[in-house]
Amino acid sequence: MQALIALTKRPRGRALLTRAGAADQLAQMLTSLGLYDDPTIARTLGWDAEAVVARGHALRQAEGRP
Amino acid sequence: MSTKQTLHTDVCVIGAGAGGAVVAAELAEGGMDVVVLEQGHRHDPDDFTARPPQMLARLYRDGGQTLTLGTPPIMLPLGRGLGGTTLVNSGTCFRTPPRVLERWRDEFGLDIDEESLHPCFERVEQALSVSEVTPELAGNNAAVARRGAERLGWSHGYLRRNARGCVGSGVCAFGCPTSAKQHTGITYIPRAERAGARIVTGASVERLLVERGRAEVVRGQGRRTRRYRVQGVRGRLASGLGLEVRAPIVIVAAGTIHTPLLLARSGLGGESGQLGRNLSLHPATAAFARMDEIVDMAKGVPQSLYVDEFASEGIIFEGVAGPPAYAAMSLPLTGERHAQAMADYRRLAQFGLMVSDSSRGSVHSLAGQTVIRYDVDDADLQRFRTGLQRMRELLEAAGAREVYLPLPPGVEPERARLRDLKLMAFHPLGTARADARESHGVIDGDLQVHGAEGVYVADGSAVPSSLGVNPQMTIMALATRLAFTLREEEIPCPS
Repeated sequence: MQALIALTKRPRGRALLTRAGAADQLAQMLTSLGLYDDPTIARTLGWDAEAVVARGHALRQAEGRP
Repeated sequence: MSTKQTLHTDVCVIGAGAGGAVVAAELAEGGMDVVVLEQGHRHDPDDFTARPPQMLARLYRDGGQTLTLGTPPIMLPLGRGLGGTTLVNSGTCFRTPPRVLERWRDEFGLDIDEESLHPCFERVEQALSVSEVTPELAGNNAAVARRGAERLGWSHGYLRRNARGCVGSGVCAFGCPTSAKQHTGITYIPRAERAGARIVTGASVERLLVERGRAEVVRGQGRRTRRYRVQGVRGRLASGLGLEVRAPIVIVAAGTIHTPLLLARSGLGGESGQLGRNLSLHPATAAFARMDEIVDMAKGVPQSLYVDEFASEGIIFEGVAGPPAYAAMSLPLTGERHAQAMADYRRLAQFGLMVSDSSRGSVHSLAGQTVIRYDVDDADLQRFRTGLQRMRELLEAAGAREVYLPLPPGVEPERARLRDLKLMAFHPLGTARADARESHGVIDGDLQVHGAEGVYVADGSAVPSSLGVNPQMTIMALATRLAFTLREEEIPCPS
Protein backbone atom coordinates (compact mmCIF):
# COMPACT_ATOMS: atom_id res chain seq x y z
CA MET A 1 0.00 0.00 0.00
CA GLN A 2 2.76 2.40 0.96
CA ALA A 3 4.54 1.66 -2.30
CA LEU A 4 1.37 2.38 -4.27
CA ILE A 5 0.85 5.68 -2.49
CA ALA A 6 4.46 6.63 -3.17
CA LEU A 7 3.97 5.87 -6.87
CA THR A 8 0.96 8.18 -7.07
CA LYS A 9 3.15 11.08 -6.03
CA ARG A 10 5.44 10.75 -9.07
CA PRO A 11 4.34 11.60 -12.63
CA ARG A 12 5.91 8.50 -14.17
CA GLY A 13 4.58 6.32 -11.40
CA ARG A 14 1.16 7.81 -11.89
CA ALA A 15 1.32 7.11 -15.64
CA LEU A 16 2.32 3.53 -14.93
CA LEU A 17 -0.57 3.03 -12.54
CA THR A 18 -3.04 4.49 -15.02
CA ARG A 19 -2.25 1.56 -17.27
CA ALA A 20 -3.02 -0.84 -14.46
CA GLY A 21 -6.64 0.04 -13.79
CA ALA A 22 -7.17 -1.69 -10.46
CA ALA A 23 -3.92 -0.50 -8.94
CA ASP A 24 -4.62 3.03 -10.10
CA GLN A 25 -8.09 2.90 -8.58
CA LEU A 26 -6.71 1.60 -5.32
CA ALA A 27 -3.93 4.17 -5.17
CA GLN A 28 -6.29 7.06 -5.82
CA MET A 29 -8.69 5.78 -3.22
CA LEU A 30 -5.99 5.55 -0.61
CA THR A 31 -4.57 8.95 -1.41
CA SER A 32 -8.00 10.60 -1.20
CA LEU A 33 -8.83 8.72 1.96
CA GLY A 34 -5.76 10.07 3.69
CA LEU A 35 -6.07 13.64 2.47
CA TYR A 36 -9.71 14.21 3.37
CA ASP A 37 -9.40 12.43 6.70
CA ASP A 38 -7.31 15.34 7.95
CA PRO A 39 -9.52 16.88 10.68
CA THR A 40 -8.71 20.43 9.54
CA ILE A 41 -9.81 19.72 5.98
CA ALA A 42 -12.80 17.65 7.08
CA ARG A 43 -14.07 20.44 9.36
CA THR A 44 -14.03 22.95 6.51
CA LEU A 45 -16.32 20.52 4.69
CA GLY A 46 -18.75 20.35 7.62
CA TRP A 47 -17.57 17.07 9.14
CA ASP A 48 -16.22 16.95 12.69
CA ALA A 49 -15.35 13.36 13.61
CA GLU A 50 -14.44 14.30 17.18
CA ALA A 51 -17.85 15.86 17.75
CA VAL A 52 -19.58 12.77 16.31
CA VAL A 53 -17.60 10.51 18.63
CA ALA A 54 -18.21 12.75 21.66
CA ARG A 55 -21.94 12.78 21.01
CA GLY A 56 -21.94 8.99 20.63
CA HIS A 57 -20.04 8.58 23.89
CA ALA A 58 -22.43 10.88 25.76
CA LEU A 59 -25.48 9.05 24.40
CA ARG A 60 -24.05 5.65 25.28
CA GLN A 61 -23.34 6.80 28.82
CA ALA A 62 -26.73 8.44 29.25
CA GLU A 63 -28.63 5.43 27.97
CA GLY A 64 -26.41 2.73 29.47
CA ARG A 65 -25.49 1.18 26.14
CA PRO A 66 -22.38 -0.94 25.69
CA MET B 1 4.30 -25.86 30.54
CA SER B 2 1.50 -26.86 28.15
CA THR B 3 1.63 -25.55 24.60
CA LYS B 4 -1.98 -26.38 23.93
CA GLN B 5 -5.26 -25.43 25.55
CA THR B 6 -8.03 -28.01 25.30
CA LEU B 7 -11.70 -27.26 25.82
CA HIS B 8 -14.61 -29.70 25.93
CA THR B 9 -18.08 -28.61 24.95
CA ASP B 10 -21.37 -29.67 23.36
CA VAL B 11 -21.09 -27.29 20.39
CA CYS B 12 -18.20 -25.38 18.89
CA VAL B 13 -19.17 -22.41 16.73
CA ILE B 14 -16.52 -20.96 14.41
CA GLY B 15 -17.15 -17.29 13.73
CA ALA B 16 -19.19 -14.66 15.56
CA GLY B 17 -20.89 -12.82 12.72
CA ALA B 18 -24.47 -12.88 11.47
CA GLY B 19 -24.72 -16.66 11.57
CA GLY B 20 -22.33 -17.76 14.31
CA ALA B 21 -23.43 -15.32 16.99
CA VAL B 22 -27.10 -16.11 16.47
CA VAL B 23 -26.76 -19.87 16.54
CA ALA B 24 -24.43 -19.66 19.56
CA ALA B 25 -26.86 -17.57 21.60
CA GLU B 26 -29.88 -19.67 20.72
CA LEU B 27 -28.09 -22.91 21.55
CA ALA B 28 -26.64 -21.58 24.81
CA GLU B 29 -30.04 -20.31 25.88
CA GLY B 30 -31.42 -23.74 25.07
CA GLY B 31 -29.10 -25.22 27.68
CA MET B 32 -26.24 -26.43 25.52
CA ASP B 33 -22.62 -25.81 26.40
CA VAL B 34 -21.17 -23.62 23.62
CA VAL B 35 -17.69 -22.41 22.72
CA VAL B 36 -17.39 -19.67 20.09
CA LEU B 37 -14.07 -19.20 18.30
CA GLU B 38 -13.63 -15.84 16.60
CA GLN B 39 -10.53 -14.91 14.67
CA GLY B 40 -10.99 -11.17 15.19
CA HIS B 41 -11.26 -9.24 18.38
CA ARG B 42 -13.83 -7.68 20.66
CA HIS B 43 -14.12 -4.04 19.62
CA ASP B 44 -14.76 -1.38 22.23
CA PRO B 45 -17.02 1.43 20.94
CA ASP B 46 -14.80 3.85 22.87
CA ASP B 47 -12.15 3.08 20.26
CA PHE B 48 -14.38 4.06 17.33
CA THR B 49 -13.07 7.32 15.92
CA ALA B 50 -15.51 7.99 13.04
CA ARG B 51 -12.43 8.31 10.84
CA PRO B 52 -12.55 5.89 7.90
CA PRO B 53 -8.82 5.12 7.46
CA GLN B 54 -8.36 4.13 11.09
CA MET B 55 -11.56 2.15 11.21
CA LEU B 56 -10.91 0.33 7.94
CA ALA B 57 -7.62 -0.90 9.39
CA ARG B 58 -9.20 -2.04 12.66
CA LEU B 59 -12.59 -3.41 11.74
CA TYR B 60 -12.06 -4.96 8.32
CA ARG B 61 -10.17 -7.93 6.98
CA ASP B 62 -7.15 -6.82 4.96
CA GLY B 63 -7.83 -3.23 6.02
CA GLY B 64 -10.91 -3.28 3.81
CA GLN B 65 -8.82 -3.96 0.71
CA THR B 66 -9.87 -7.55 -0.02
CA LEU B 67 -9.86 -7.80 -3.79
CA THR B 68 -11.35 -10.30 -6.22
CA LEU B 69 -9.31 -11.44 -9.20
CA GLY B 70 -11.12 -11.17 -12.48
CA THR B 71 -12.63 -8.68 -14.86
CA PRO B 72 -12.97 -6.17 -13.44
CA PRO B 73 -11.18 -6.58 -10.09
CA ILE B 74 -13.65 -5.80 -7.31
CA MET B 75 -13.12 -4.56 -3.76
CA LEU B 76 -14.97 -6.82 -1.32
CA PRO B 77 -15.10 -5.36 2.20
CA LEU B 78 -15.46 -7.92 4.99
CA GLY B 79 -15.79 -7.18 8.70
CA ARG B 80 -13.64 -8.84 11.32
CA GLY B 81 -14.28 -9.20 15.02
CA LEU B 82 -17.20 -9.99 17.29
CA GLY B 83 -20.15 -9.16 15.07
CA GLY B 84 -18.32 -9.98 11.83
CA THR B 85 -19.62 -7.97 8.92
CA THR B 86 -22.71 -6.94 10.93
CA LEU B 87 -20.28 -4.67 12.80
CA VAL B 88 -19.59 -2.66 9.65
CA ASN B 89 -22.62 -3.12 7.42
CA SER B 90 -25.33 -0.55 6.87
CA GLY B 91 -27.83 -2.37 9.04
CA THR B 92 -30.32 -2.91 6.24
CA CYS B 93 -32.83 -5.66 6.99
CA PHE B 94 -34.79 -7.49 4.30
CA ARG B 95 -36.52 -10.79 4.70
CA THR B 96 -35.73 -13.37 2.04
CA PRO B 97 -37.93 -12.51 -0.97
CA PRO B 98 -40.63 -15.18 -1.59
CA ARG B 99 -39.53 -15.62 -5.22
CA VAL B 100 -36.07 -16.62 -3.93
CA LEU B 101 -37.53 -19.19 -1.54
CA GLU B 102 -39.55 -20.66 -4.39
CA ARG B 103 -36.37 -20.97 -6.40
CA TRP B 104 -34.66 -22.73 -3.49
CA ARG B 105 -37.49 -25.26 -3.41
CA ASP B 106 -37.62 -25.83 -7.16
CA GLU B 107 -33.94 -25.71 -8.01
CA PHE B 108 -32.23 -26.93 -4.84
CA GLY B 109 -34.92 -29.13 -3.31
CA LEU B 110 -34.93 -27.18 -0.05
CA ASP B 111 -37.91 -27.40 2.23
CA ILE B 112 -37.65 -23.80 3.40
CA ASP B 113 -40.65 -21.60 2.80
CA GLU B 114 -42.07 -18.28 3.97
CA GLU B 115 -44.23 -19.89 6.59
CA SER B 116 -41.49 -21.95 8.17
CA LEU B 117 -39.09 -19.01 8.23
CA HIS B 118 -41.67 -16.58 9.60
CA PRO B 119 -41.03 -17.32 13.30
CA CYS B 120 -37.28 -17.10 12.67
CA PHE B 121 -37.59 -13.65 11.15
CA GLU B 122 -39.93 -12.50 13.90
CA ARG B 123 -37.49 -13.66 16.53
CA VAL B 124 -34.46 -12.04 14.88
CA GLU B 125 -36.24 -8.77 14.18
CA GLN B 126 -37.33 -8.49 17.79
CA ALA B 127 -33.82 -9.29 19.04
CA LEU B 128 -32.31 -6.62 16.79
CA SER B 129 -34.99 -3.92 17.21
CA VAL B 130 -35.64 -3.82 13.47
CA SER B 131 -37.74 -0.85 12.37
CA GLU B 132 -38.17 1.47 9.43
CA VAL B 133 -36.00 4.56 9.18
CA THR B 134 -37.91 7.81 9.63
CA PRO B 135 -37.60 10.58 6.99
CA GLU B 136 -36.02 12.88 9.59
CA LEU B 137 -33.32 10.37 10.45
CA ALA B 138 -32.75 9.47 6.81
CA GLY B 139 -31.31 12.92 6.18
CA ASN B 140 -30.93 15.07 3.09
CA ASN B 141 -29.07 12.53 0.99
CA ALA B 142 -32.06 10.21 1.07
CA ALA B 143 -34.37 13.16 0.48
CA VAL B 144 -32.61 13.88 -2.81
CA ALA B 145 -33.13 10.34 -4.13
CA ARG B 146 -36.67 10.24 -2.80
CA ARG B 147 -37.49 13.44 -4.68
CA GLY B 148 -36.11 11.96 -7.89
CA ALA B 149 -38.06 8.72 -7.46
CA GLU B 150 -41.26 10.58 -6.70
CA ARG B 151 -40.91 12.79 -9.77
CA LEU B 152 -40.31 9.74 -11.95
CA GLY B 153 -43.03 7.70 -10.29
CA TRP B 154 -40.56 4.96 -9.37
CA SER B 155 -41.24 2.54 -6.53
CA HIS B 156 -39.21 3.36 -3.44
CA GLY B 157 -39.34 3.31 0.34
CA TYR B 158 -37.45 3.75 3.57
CA LEU B 159 -35.40 0.77 4.63
CA ARG B 160 -35.86 -1.31 7.74
CA ARG B 161 -32.76 -1.41 9.91
CA ASN B 162 -31.47 -3.04 13.09
CA ALA B 163 -30.92 0.12 15.10
CA ARG B 164 -32.11 1.47 18.41
CA GLY B 165 -31.62 5.07 19.46
CA CYS B 166 -29.90 5.96 16.18
CA VAL B 167 -29.08 9.65 15.76
CA GLY B 168 -27.75 9.41 12.23
CA SER B 169 -24.02 9.58 12.93
CA GLY B 170 -23.36 8.65 9.30
CA VAL B 171 -20.60 6.13 9.94
CA CYS B 172 -22.35 2.73 10.08
CA ALA B 173 -19.54 1.26 8.01
CA PHE B 174 -16.84 2.54 10.34
CA GLY B 175 -18.11 1.50 13.78
CA CYS B 176 -21.26 3.01 15.25
CA PRO B 177 -20.14 5.51 17.91
CA THR B 178 -23.50 5.43 19.70
CA SER B 179 -23.86 1.62 19.69
CA ALA B 180 -27.23 2.23 18.08
CA LYS B 181 -26.68 -0.33 15.36
CA GLN B 182 -27.68 -3.65 16.86
CA HIS B 183 -24.92 -5.78 15.38
CA THR B 184 -24.51 -9.30 16.68
CA GLY B 185 -21.43 -8.35 18.73
CA ILE B 186 -23.61 -6.31 21.11
CA THR B 187 -26.82 -8.31 20.87
CA TYR B 188 -26.47 -12.04 20.40
CA ILE B 189 -22.92 -12.40 21.75
CA PRO B 190 -23.80 -10.89 25.16
CA ARG B 191 -26.87 -13.13 25.25
CA ALA B 192 -24.70 -16.15 24.53
CA GLU B 193 -22.28 -15.13 27.29
CA ARG B 194 -25.07 -14.62 29.80
CA ALA B 195 -26.26 -18.13 28.99
CA GLY B 196 -22.80 -19.49 29.74
CA ALA B 197 -21.17 -19.63 26.30
CA ARG B 198 -17.41 -19.21 26.24
CA ILE B 199 -16.22 -16.70 23.64
CA VAL B 200 -12.62 -17.03 22.52
CA THR B 201 -11.31 -14.17 20.37
CA GLY B 202 -8.07 -14.12 18.41
CA ALA B 203 -8.60 -17.81 17.62
CA SER B 204 -7.65 -19.08 14.17
CA VAL B 205 -9.06 -22.48 13.32
CA GLU B 206 -6.79 -24.65 11.23
CA ARG B 207 -9.00 -27.65 10.68
CA LEU B 208 -11.89 -29.70 11.92
CA LEU B 209 -11.07 -32.98 13.59
CA VAL B 210 -13.02 -35.87 12.15
CA GLU B 211 -13.05 -39.60 12.48
CA ARG B 212 -13.72 -41.78 9.51
CA GLY B 213 -16.52 -44.27 9.69
CA ARG B 214 -19.72 -45.26 8.10
CA ALA B 215 -22.12 -43.96 10.65
CA GLU B 216 -25.51 -44.15 9.10
CA VAL B 217 -28.26 -41.83 10.22
CA VAL B 218 -31.84 -41.48 9.18
CA ARG B 219 -32.82 -38.01 8.09
CA GLY B 220 -36.11 -36.61 6.90
CA GLN B 221 -35.87 -37.82 3.32
CA GLY B 222 -34.52 -41.28 4.03
CA ARG B 223 -31.32 -43.02 4.84
CA ARG B 224 -28.04 -41.25 4.14
CA THR B 225 -24.50 -42.30 4.72
CA ARG B 226 -22.28 -40.12 6.87
CA ARG B 227 -18.70 -41.02 6.08
CA TYR B 228 -17.21 -38.77 8.72
CA ARG B 229 -18.11 -37.85 12.25
CA VAL B 230 -16.75 -34.62 13.73
CA GLN B 231 -14.79 -34.66 16.96
CA GLY B 232 -13.86 -31.02 17.33
CA VAL B 233 -11.51 -28.42 15.92
CA ARG B 234 -7.85 -27.55 16.12
CA GLY B 235 -6.42 -24.08 15.89
CA ARG B 236 -4.23 -21.45 17.42
CA LEU B 237 -4.68 -18.46 19.65
CA ALA B 238 -3.21 -15.06 18.85
CA SER B 239 -0.65 -15.70 21.59
CA GLY B 240 0.66 -18.65 19.60
CA LEU B 241 -0.76 -21.18 22.03
CA GLY B 242 -2.35 -24.18 20.35
CA LEU B 243 -6.08 -24.69 20.86
CA GLU B 244 -8.19 -27.79 20.62
CA VAL B 245 -11.92 -27.87 21.18
CA ARG B 246 -13.49 -31.29 21.53
CA ALA B 247 -17.15 -31.22 20.50
CA PRO B 248 -19.62 -33.61 18.85
CA ILE B 249 -21.16 -30.70 16.95
CA VAL B 250 -19.23 -28.04 15.03
CA ILE B 251 -20.97 -25.16 13.34
CA VAL B 252 -18.84 -23.42 10.74
CA ALA B 253 -19.75 -19.75 10.37
CA ALA B 254 -16.48 -18.25 9.22
CA GLY B 255 -18.12 -16.39 6.34
CA THR B 256 -18.63 -17.09 2.66
CA ILE B 257 -14.97 -16.61 1.79
CA HIS B 258 -13.38 -18.58 4.61
CA THR B 259 -15.87 -21.34 5.40
CA PRO B 260 -15.19 -23.30 2.17
CA LEU B 261 -11.44 -22.99 2.73
CA LEU B 262 -11.74 -24.40 6.25
CA LEU B 263 -13.94 -27.26 5.08
CA ALA B 264 -11.48 -28.00 2.27
CA ARG B 265 -8.53 -28.00 4.71
CA SER B 266 -10.49 -30.50 6.78
CA GLY B 267 -11.24 -32.78 3.84
CA LEU B 268 -14.99 -32.17 4.15
CA GLY B 269 -17.73 -31.11 1.78
CA GLY B 270 -15.78 -31.55 -1.41
CA GLU B 271 -17.49 -34.56 -2.91
CA SER B 272 -20.10 -32.72 -4.95
CA GLY B 273 -17.41 -30.58 -6.54
CA GLN B 274 -19.36 -27.50 -5.44
CA LEU B 275 -17.24 -26.47 -2.44
CA GLY B 276 -15.79 -23.01 -3.02
CA ARG B 277 -17.81 -22.57 -6.21
CA ASN B 278 -21.06 -20.71 -6.95
CA LEU B 279 -19.80 -17.51 -5.34
CA SER B 280 -22.50 -14.93 -5.72
CA LEU B 281 -21.91 -11.26 -4.92
CA HIS B 282 -23.83 -8.06 -5.15
CA PRO B 283 -21.47 -6.06 -7.34
CA ALA B 284 -22.16 -2.40 -6.73
CA THR B 285 -21.16 1.07 -7.67
CA ALA B 286 -22.32 4.56 -6.83
CA ALA B 287 -22.95 7.86 -8.53
CA PHE B 288 -22.64 11.37 -7.15
CA ALA B 289 -24.68 14.47 -7.88
CA ARG B 290 -23.88 18.12 -7.23
CA MET B 291 -27.00 19.74 -5.88
CA ASP B 292 -28.01 23.36 -5.27
CA GLU B 293 -28.98 22.61 -1.70
CA ILE B 294 -26.77 21.70 1.22
CA VAL B 295 -26.91 17.91 1.51
CA ASP B 296 -24.30 17.09 4.16
CA MET B 297 -24.55 13.45 3.14
CA ALA B 298 -22.98 12.11 6.33
CA LYS B 299 -25.67 13.64 8.50
CA GLY B 300 -28.32 10.97 8.68
CA VAL B 301 -28.49 7.24 8.10
CA PRO B 302 -26.26 6.48 5.10
CA GLN B 303 -28.40 3.62 3.84
CA SER B 304 -31.96 4.62 4.52
CA LEU B 305 -33.84 4.60 1.21
CA TYR B 306 -34.22 2.10 -1.58
CA VAL B 307 -35.59 2.35 -5.10
CA ASP B 308 -36.83 -1.04 -6.29
CA GLU B 309 -38.56 -0.04 -9.51
CA PHE B 310 -36.19 -2.28 -11.47
CA ALA B 311 -35.72 -5.09 -8.94
CA SER B 312 -37.24 -7.61 -11.35
CA GLU B 313 -34.36 -6.81 -13.72
CA GLY B 314 -31.81 -7.37 -10.95
CA ILE B 315 -31.17 -3.68 -10.39
CA ILE B 316 -31.63 -2.10 -6.96
CA PHE B 317 -30.73 1.41 -5.85
CA GLU B 318 -29.85 1.92 -2.20
CA GLY B 319 -28.59 4.91 -0.29
CA VAL B 320 -24.91 5.25 0.43
CA ALA B 321 -23.04 8.14 2.02
CA GLY B 322 -20.21 8.97 4.37
CA PRO B 323 -17.74 11.52 5.69
CA PRO B 324 -15.47 13.48 3.31
CA ALA B 325 -12.69 10.88 3.41
CA TYR B 326 -15.11 8.17 2.37
CA ALA B 327 -16.72 10.34 -0.34
CA ALA B 328 -13.33 11.34 -1.72
CA MET B 329 -12.34 7.70 -1.93
CA SER B 330 -15.35 6.82 -4.07
CA LEU B 331 -15.87 10.02 -6.07
CA PRO B 332 -15.26 9.00 -9.70
CA LEU B 333 -13.16 11.98 -10.72
CA THR B 334 -9.46 12.72 -10.83
CA GLY B 335 -7.12 15.68 -10.41
CA GLU B 336 -8.55 19.17 -10.42
CA ARG B 337 -12.11 18.02 -11.08
CA HIS B 338 -11.93 15.77 -8.03
CA ALA B 339 -10.63 18.64 -5.90
CA GLN B 340 -13.34 21.01 -7.16
CA ALA B 341 -16.12 18.54 -6.49
CA MET B 342 -14.77 17.81 -3.03
CA ALA B 343 -14.62 21.52 -2.28
CA ASP B 344 -18.40 21.36 -2.78
CA TYR B 345 -18.74 18.26 -0.59
CA ARG B 346 -21.59 19.77 1.39
CA ARG B 347 -23.70 19.89 -1.79
CA LEU B 348 -22.80 16.40 -2.96
CA ALA B 349 -25.39 13.64 -2.90
CA GLN B 350 -24.61 10.01 -3.52
CA PHE B 351 -26.67 6.93 -4.29
CA GLY B 352 -25.69 3.33 -4.84
CA LEU B 353 -26.51 0.79 -7.54
CA MET B 354 -26.47 -2.88 -6.65
CA VAL B 355 -26.85 -5.74 -9.10
CA SER B 356 -28.38 -9.11 -8.28
CA ASP B 357 -25.78 -11.10 -10.14
CA SER B 358 -25.95 -13.94 -12.59
CA SER B 359 -22.12 -14.09 -12.63
CA ARG B 360 -20.56 -16.75 -10.42
CA GLY B 361 -17.11 -16.91 -8.92
CA SER B 362 -15.05 -19.19 -6.74
CA VAL B 363 -12.85 -19.22 -3.68
CA HIS B 364 -9.77 -21.31 -3.21
CA SER B 365 -6.45 -21.29 -1.45
CA LEU B 366 -3.17 -20.95 -3.30
CA ALA B 367 0.06 -21.33 -1.33
CA GLY B 368 -1.81 -20.40 1.80
CA GLN B 369 -3.32 -17.27 0.26
CA THR B 370 -7.03 -16.80 -0.30
CA VAL B 371 -7.89 -16.34 -3.96
CA ILE B 372 -11.33 -15.01 -4.86
CA ARG B 373 -12.02 -15.37 -8.55
CA TYR B 374 -14.99 -13.53 -10.02
CA ASP B 375 -15.69 -12.30 -13.55
CA VAL B 376 -18.68 -10.11 -14.27
CA ASP B 377 -20.71 -11.74 -17.06
CA ASP B 378 -22.41 -10.06 -20.01
CA ALA B 379 -25.83 -10.04 -18.37
CA ASP B 380 -24.51 -8.24 -15.31
CA LEU B 381 -22.57 -5.79 -17.49
CA GLN B 382 -25.86 -4.98 -19.19
CA ARG B 383 -27.49 -4.51 -15.77
CA PHE B 384 -24.79 -1.98 -14.88
CA ARG B 385 -25.25 -0.15 -18.19
CA THR B 386 -28.98 0.07 -17.68
CA GLY B 387 -28.64 0.84 -13.98
CA LEU B 388 -26.22 3.69 -14.54
CA GLN B 389 -28.48 5.26 -17.18
CA ARG B 390 -31.37 5.11 -14.75
CA MET B 391 -29.25 6.36 -11.88
CA ARG B 392 -28.44 9.45 -13.91
CA GLU B 393 -32.14 9.84 -14.66
CA LEU B 394 -32.95 9.58 -10.95
CA LEU B 395 -30.42 12.18 -9.88
CA GLU B 396 -31.30 14.56 -12.69
CA ALA B 397 -34.98 14.27 -11.79
CA ALA B 398 -33.98 15.18 -8.23
CA GLY B 399 -32.50 18.44 -9.56
CA ALA B 400 -28.81 17.61 -9.87
CA ARG B 401 -26.64 20.35 -11.39
CA GLU B 402 -24.18 17.72 -12.45
CA VAL B 403 -24.07 13.93 -12.18
CA TYR B 404 -20.80 12.05 -11.73
CA LEU B 405 -21.13 8.49 -12.94
CA PRO B 406 -18.43 5.95 -12.04
CA LEU B 407 -17.10 5.72 -15.58
CA PRO B 408 -14.00 7.08 -17.33
CA PRO B 409 -14.37 10.49 -19.00
CA GLY B 410 -16.32 10.32 -22.25
CA VAL B 411 -17.72 6.84 -21.65
CA GLU B 412 -21.50 6.70 -21.72
CA PRO B 413 -23.25 3.99 -19.70
CA GLU B 414 -24.64 2.19 -22.74
CA ARG B 415 -21.12 1.79 -24.15
CA ALA B 416 -19.37 0.93 -20.90
CA ARG B 417 -17.04 -2.05 -21.03
CA LEU B 418 -16.19 -4.28 -18.12
CA ARG B 419 -12.84 -2.58 -17.62
CA ASP B 420 -14.60 0.79 -17.39
CA LEU B 421 -16.55 -0.24 -14.30
CA LYS B 422 -15.30 0.73 -10.86
CA LEU B 423 -16.96 -1.76 -8.60
CA MET B 424 -17.17 -2.78 -5.02
CA ALA B 425 -19.10 -5.84 -3.97
CA PHE B 426 -21.05 -6.86 -0.92
CA HIS B 427 -22.97 -9.85 0.39
CA PRO B 428 -20.89 -12.83 -0.77
CA LEU B 429 -22.97 -16.02 -0.75
CA GLY B 430 -23.12 -19.57 -1.97
CA THR B 431 -19.66 -21.18 -1.66
CA ALA B 432 -20.92 -24.09 0.47
CA ARG B 433 -24.40 -24.06 -0.93
CA ALA B 434 -27.32 -26.00 0.39
CA ASP B 435 -28.89 -28.55 -1.91
CA ALA B 436 -30.94 -31.52 -0.86
CA ARG B 437 -28.99 -33.65 -3.35
CA GLU B 438 -25.57 -34.75 -2.16
CA SER B 439 -24.26 -34.59 -5.72
CA HIS B 440 -25.23 -30.94 -6.15
CA GLY B 441 -24.56 -29.21 -2.86
CA VAL B 442 -22.14 -29.03 0.04
CA ILE B 443 -24.76 -29.08 2.79
CA ASP B 444 -28.30 -30.43 3.05
CA GLY B 445 -31.53 -28.64 3.88
CA ASP B 446 -30.75 -28.89 7.59
CA LEU B 447 -27.43 -27.12 6.88
CA GLN B 448 -25.44 -30.25 7.75
CA VAL B 449 -22.46 -31.03 5.54
CA HIS B 450 -23.30 -33.92 3.22
CA GLY B 451 -21.47 -37.02 4.31
CA ALA B 452 -20.27 -35.64 7.64
CA GLU B 453 -22.17 -36.09 10.87
CA GLY B 454 -22.18 -33.16 13.28
CA VAL B 455 -20.76 -30.51 10.92
CA TYR B 456 -23.10 -27.65 10.05
CA VAL B 457 -22.72 -24.37 8.16
CA ALA B 458 -24.43 -21.20 9.33
CA ASP B 459 -23.28 -18.25 7.26
CA GLY B 460 -23.67 -16.77 3.82
CA SER B 461 -21.86 -19.67 2.19
CA ALA B 462 -24.92 -21.84 2.83
CA VAL B 463 -27.25 -19.55 0.87
CA PRO B 464 -27.69 -21.22 -2.51
CA SER B 465 -28.54 -18.28 -4.71
CA SER B 466 -28.30 -14.54 -5.04
CA LEU B 467 -31.00 -12.83 -2.98
CA GLY B 468 -31.19 -9.45 -4.67
CA VAL B 469 -31.40 -7.89 -1.21
CA ASN B 470 -29.05 -7.49 1.74
CA PRO B 471 -28.59 -10.96 3.23
CA GLN B 472 -28.01 -10.52 6.97
CA MET B 473 -31.62 -11.34 7.93
CA THR B 474 -31.63 -14.45 5.75
CA ILE B 475 -28.40 -15.66 7.37
CA MET B 476 -29.71 -14.94 10.86
CA ALA B 477 -33.05 -16.60 10.17
CA LEU B 478 -31.34 -19.74 8.84
CA ALA B 479 -29.07 -19.76 11.90
CA THR B 480 -32.11 -19.50 14.18
CA ARG B 481 -33.75 -22.37 12.32
CA LEU B 482 -30.60 -24.48 12.70
CA ALA B 483 -30.37 -23.76 16.44
CA PHE B 484 -33.92 -24.87 17.08
CA THR B 485 -33.45 -27.95 14.91
CA LEU B 486 -30.50 -28.92 17.09
CA ARG B 487 -32.48 -28.08 20.22
CA GLU B 488 -35.29 -30.25 18.82
CA GLU B 489 -37.79 -27.56 19.75
CA GLU B 490 -40.37 -25.51 17.92
CA ILE B 491 -39.35 -21.92 17.31
CA PRO B 492 -41.38 -19.75 19.63
CA CYS B 493 -42.90 -16.74 17.87
CA PRO B 494 -42.30 -13.60 19.92
CA SER B 495 -45.48 -12.09 21.30
